[in-house]
Amino acid sequence: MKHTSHFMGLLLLPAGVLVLAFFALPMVKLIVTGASGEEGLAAYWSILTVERHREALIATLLLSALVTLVALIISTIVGVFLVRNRFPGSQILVSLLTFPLAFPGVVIGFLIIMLAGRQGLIGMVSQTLTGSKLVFAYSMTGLFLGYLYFSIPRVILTVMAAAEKLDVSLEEAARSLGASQWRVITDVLLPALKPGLIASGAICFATSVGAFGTAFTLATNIDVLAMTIYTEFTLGANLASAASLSVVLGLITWAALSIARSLSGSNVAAAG
Amino acid sequence: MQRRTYFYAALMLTLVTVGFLVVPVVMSVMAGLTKNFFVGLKSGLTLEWVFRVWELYQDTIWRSMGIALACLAITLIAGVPAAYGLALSKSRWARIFEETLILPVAVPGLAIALALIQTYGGFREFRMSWAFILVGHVLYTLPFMVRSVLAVLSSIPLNEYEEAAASLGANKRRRFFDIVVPNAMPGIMAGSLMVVTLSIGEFNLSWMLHTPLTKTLPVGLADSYASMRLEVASAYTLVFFIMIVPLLIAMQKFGQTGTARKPTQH
Amino acid sequence: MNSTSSQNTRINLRRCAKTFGNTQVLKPVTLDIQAGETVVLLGPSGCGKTTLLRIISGLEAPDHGSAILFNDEDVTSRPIEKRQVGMVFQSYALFPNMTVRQNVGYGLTTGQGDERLTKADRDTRIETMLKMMRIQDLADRSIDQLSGGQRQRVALARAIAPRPKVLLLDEPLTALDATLRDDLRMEINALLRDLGITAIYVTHDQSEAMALGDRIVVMSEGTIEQIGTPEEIYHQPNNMFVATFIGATNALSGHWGHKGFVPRGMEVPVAALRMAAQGGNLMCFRPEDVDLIEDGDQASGALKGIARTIAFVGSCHRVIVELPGNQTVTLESAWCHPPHPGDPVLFKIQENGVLPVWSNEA
Repeated sequence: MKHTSHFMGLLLLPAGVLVLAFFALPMVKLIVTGASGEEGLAAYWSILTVERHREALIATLLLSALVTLVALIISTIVGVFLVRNRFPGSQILVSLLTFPLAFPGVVIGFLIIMLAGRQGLIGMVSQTLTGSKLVFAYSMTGLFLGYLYFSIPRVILTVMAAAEKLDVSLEEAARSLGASQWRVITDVLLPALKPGLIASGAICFATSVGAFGTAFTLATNIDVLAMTIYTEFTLGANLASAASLSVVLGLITWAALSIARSLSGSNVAAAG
Repeated sequence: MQRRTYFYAALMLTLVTVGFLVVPVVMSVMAGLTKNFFVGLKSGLTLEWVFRVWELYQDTIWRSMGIALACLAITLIAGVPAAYGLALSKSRWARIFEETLILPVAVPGLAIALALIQTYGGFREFRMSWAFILVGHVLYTLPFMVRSVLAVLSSIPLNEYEEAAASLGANKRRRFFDIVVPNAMPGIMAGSLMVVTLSIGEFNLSWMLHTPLTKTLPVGLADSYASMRLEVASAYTLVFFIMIVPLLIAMQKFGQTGTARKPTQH
Repeated sequence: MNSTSSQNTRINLRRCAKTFGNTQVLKPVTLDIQAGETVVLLGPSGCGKTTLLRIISGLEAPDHGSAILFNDEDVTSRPIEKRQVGMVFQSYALFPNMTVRQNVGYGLTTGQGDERLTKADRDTRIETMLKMMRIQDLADRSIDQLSGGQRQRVALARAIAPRPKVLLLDEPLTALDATLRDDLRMEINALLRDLGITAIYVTHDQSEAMALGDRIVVMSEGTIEQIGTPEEIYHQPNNMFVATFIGATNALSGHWGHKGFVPRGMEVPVAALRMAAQGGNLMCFRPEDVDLIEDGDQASGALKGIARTIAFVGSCHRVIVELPGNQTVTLESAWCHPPHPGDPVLFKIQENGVLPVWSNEA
């Protein structure tokens, strides 16, 4: 069906206006503002030169990488397990594992407090057992758990989708050739899951880098990039610095997601 | 023998993971319904905290619902035609447009919020109204609507249906409403659920964009986590769960038919 | 079938051409289609037949200077939804969001043409269509519950329900399996005769073209090679392309001497000069246009070869014969005693069997 460009323009107009006026234009303004401080364009280097910023960047990247790694390991095992083993209740487990998918970061922060906060479960259990209260919700460990919390459901879904498409006969062939369980996993299973793992790993990484709500709930003194930006903006009222840092933050998440998209070749969209 | 070991090890890990995700939720729900969480269940169950939340925060609940519905309306009006246009065109410009449209999802909410405040913060009326938050939500959710509808439209021979309808005398308008929209319905439904779910739970943008008079539910939640006793915070979280869980269930149903994309936001 | 016959429409195409980018996929075509006639556009894929059909339908705009006339009215600039054409697509393109009944009735609700139908009129028309295509029982089914053959019937019913000026069919049987295809082909044939509607049918299948067409338009590489009745196309092909595309053709290489055609590796002419349009270095004949010489009688102008492959094809035997000079031909005939591989075969090309085509291909 041939359509005139006039008609196409009409279809794309509302979305186009929205994105142009409320995204493209403000983002350009943000980039310009980032360079409007005393240091000018050099503000964009402050993330490396200013010690506080550099440390926040390193902490953010390390934390996100670690979360990604652990989430991938846990989700791969659990996801493949649930696809391969159907037992009474396994469907419920799948539902329970994927439900937290749309919980906002603030709520997840609160759930971590329930788990490891001052009145949390772990604290109570440790107090009864050892007499001393174990509290780590308000530290990097708590943040790690929080990021893990929102990463696991997403990665599990990707792994399960990929595992369902796996050709079981490949594994049977490997086994018939004498491969051990371990060799089957490393030679057949993981290579087949690889594209999905890379894609969801990148999403997981990008989401962790950009996450704000969880850190915000847990504590204001954990130095991850998102918190640094927030502090610069509200307490320091340093608009240029906040702007340049968020541009860098945006570039990191965008790059991670671009890699994910080019590797998986399709629909991945995430962050927040 | 070895296989059994693997099975039980994996099962254990699965159960631990489920526990990690579910136990805090259960605790939170319990805390919201218990007279004194520190004392425990023996202090008795109560709806007192829920009522307190209703008293203190019901405006945030209504506002979040209102914003979610307004957001849905806008993403439908802007997103469905855009997805249709993108499905029709194979040109390079269309792909660039699609990329730009999706971009707000790839950029942290914090950055978008800062950009919006800088550009439009000067318009006081706008800045002070809930429409300011709505704009952020629309930007963030529009890609999900477009993607969801586009995925469905790209999976059907849309062009042939349209040609057939045209050969039967249907003009553009009729084709859009008789053919395109009904056949895109699974995508529109999945996209709508996602938009509403994401909007209700959106925090990053909302926190930056809100004013004391335009608090949304998650903003209120963060507020209560910081300043209220644990029972109230839990009861408030419970209210949030009650709002969001039906949406999540519906989304899982759609997810099984394979059209929904997974939402994300933290 | 008065209730469904439409006014007969005469279609004239005047220098219709189509250029995509830099390639002219359809060279200027001029074609006159009589009212009520079924014309088949036949050719290999990429020959421009579908493009021509889409130009007639209004789905594609032809190049500047082209003109399409429906009953002398110029419709060139009219979009498809205003042309009143019924179209049947290769993939059926039935609307999955509608039932069979809604699909069939859709064209009655769009207000095309001059007709204004009441709800009752529409229902009657739909019932007639369903009955005619014998799909009443399927009326309230959804499309994904239908088999391929049933879908085809629904597609036909939907296309003719609004009484279009012309019915355009784009390879409507390609997606079906062989037996179903034969049945539906006969049904479509009967339907087109009953309706008396002007129809244009695109196919790459020559047997479909032969069975359905009042006239066949053979196309290749964007041009019309020949227009004619199936008999004309088969017996008097204009050129080598038509001869080889329609039906099986043997092409013997050799040379035309003053007494007739002498195949390579032979000395005696096997076809008299007067029989053919002579020229070039090939002589073509159909596998069935031969007389067998089974009694061993050496007649003048006979060819002798060795049987290589023998296949029984129902009505006759098909034998591949190797001739001197390393040439092979295929013969179809009712042998009393079919040869075995290696047996000698003696045959003569029938007097009218030589096709009037020639080529200088080696």
